[in-house]
Amino acid sequence: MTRFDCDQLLSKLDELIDGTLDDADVGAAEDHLVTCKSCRVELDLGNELREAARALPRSVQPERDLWPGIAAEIEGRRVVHGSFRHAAAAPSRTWLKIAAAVAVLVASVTIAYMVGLEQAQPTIVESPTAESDYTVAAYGDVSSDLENVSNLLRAGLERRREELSPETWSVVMENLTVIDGAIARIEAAMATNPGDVRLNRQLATAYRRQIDLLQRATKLPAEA
Amino acid sequence: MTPTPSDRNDDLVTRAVDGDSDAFEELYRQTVARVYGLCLRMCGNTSQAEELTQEAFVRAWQKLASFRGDSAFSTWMHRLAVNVVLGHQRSSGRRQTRESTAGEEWYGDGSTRAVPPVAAVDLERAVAALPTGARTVFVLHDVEGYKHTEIAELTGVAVGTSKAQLSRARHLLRKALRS
Repeated sequence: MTRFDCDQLLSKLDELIDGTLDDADVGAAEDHLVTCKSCRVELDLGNELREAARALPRSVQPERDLWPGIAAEIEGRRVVHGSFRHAAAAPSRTWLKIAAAVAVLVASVTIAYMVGLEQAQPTIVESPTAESDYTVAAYGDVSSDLENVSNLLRAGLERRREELSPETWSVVMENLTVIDGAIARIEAAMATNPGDVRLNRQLATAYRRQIDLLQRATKLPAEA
Repeated sequence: MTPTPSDRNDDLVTRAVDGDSDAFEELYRQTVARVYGLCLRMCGNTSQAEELTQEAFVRAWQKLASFRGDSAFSTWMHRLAVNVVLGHQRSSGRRQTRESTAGEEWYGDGSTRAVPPVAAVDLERAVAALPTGARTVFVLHDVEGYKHTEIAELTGVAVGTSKAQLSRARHLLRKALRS
């Protein structure tokens, strides 16, 4: 059996640490380590490092609640995904029907929830916990950002007004009005139920729908 | 008979597959710390880790129908998150050569475990500052316990490359922790 030199030992250090070095090489490594202090230090540090890595906590809580962003994304995809896929290629009537359907959906879901809320109001006594406050705050941030995006898109759509036919323009505006109405109702309800996570979620979802509508409207080919 | 956690999760997954976002939210709450911890260590950057965590859960929602229950949801979710991070690294690797700016950004508090010889804070910082390839293999192998064959399969590299990256990572970490 040959004794390792420093280069040989260092090249096998990982296998030595992981216990995957074959017996002959383990013997050669041990013989070297008896006389080489610097390699012993490397091995000790390597072992400590491995133990420290194994001891690291696997779970780390994010500093903010990430759910609102995920919820906005999956709620948006669930209703709109696919329906609008061919909108750019086939605008006009098909697109307008879909736009109307989205607006009606937003309004109806909102209204259904609002009605439910009003009917159930006496029994809803949801004391805000630290977590729900945090969730609501996060929704508030998301809704604020979405509102800004919506406003920017609306300005962009306004600049394209001359390029779209009066019929298209009219339907887009009607749908935006419906969604605006839904947003206004949610915000009014939030004034009395600021801690209601569902309302905050509804608001974010409504803005998301509005943004989808605006994005597709601004991408429609010129008609006029 | 009282439902086990596994039964409970099966029910949540079934409901989530049917489009129940409340059930999916509960699955998210159960697994987010594990997924975020993985993303954070693999990318070494808090804001990117948040984005990747969100992306992982959105992708999970889209792929829920393909979850067959052969493993626990948390295991499936973990593997999916690894793929999301690796996919991100592959696409961002084409755009940039800068390996990492992470060392100064996050190094965790390591407060839940005491590691006397190598301080967890120092280790987290040193791991975050590793080059991407070396960091990925180190986190998957030494922290998450994946085997080289699994890492090779996940990352699309040879087993030898995975071993070489681990060796590089450990060498750089020993050097960093010695200084």
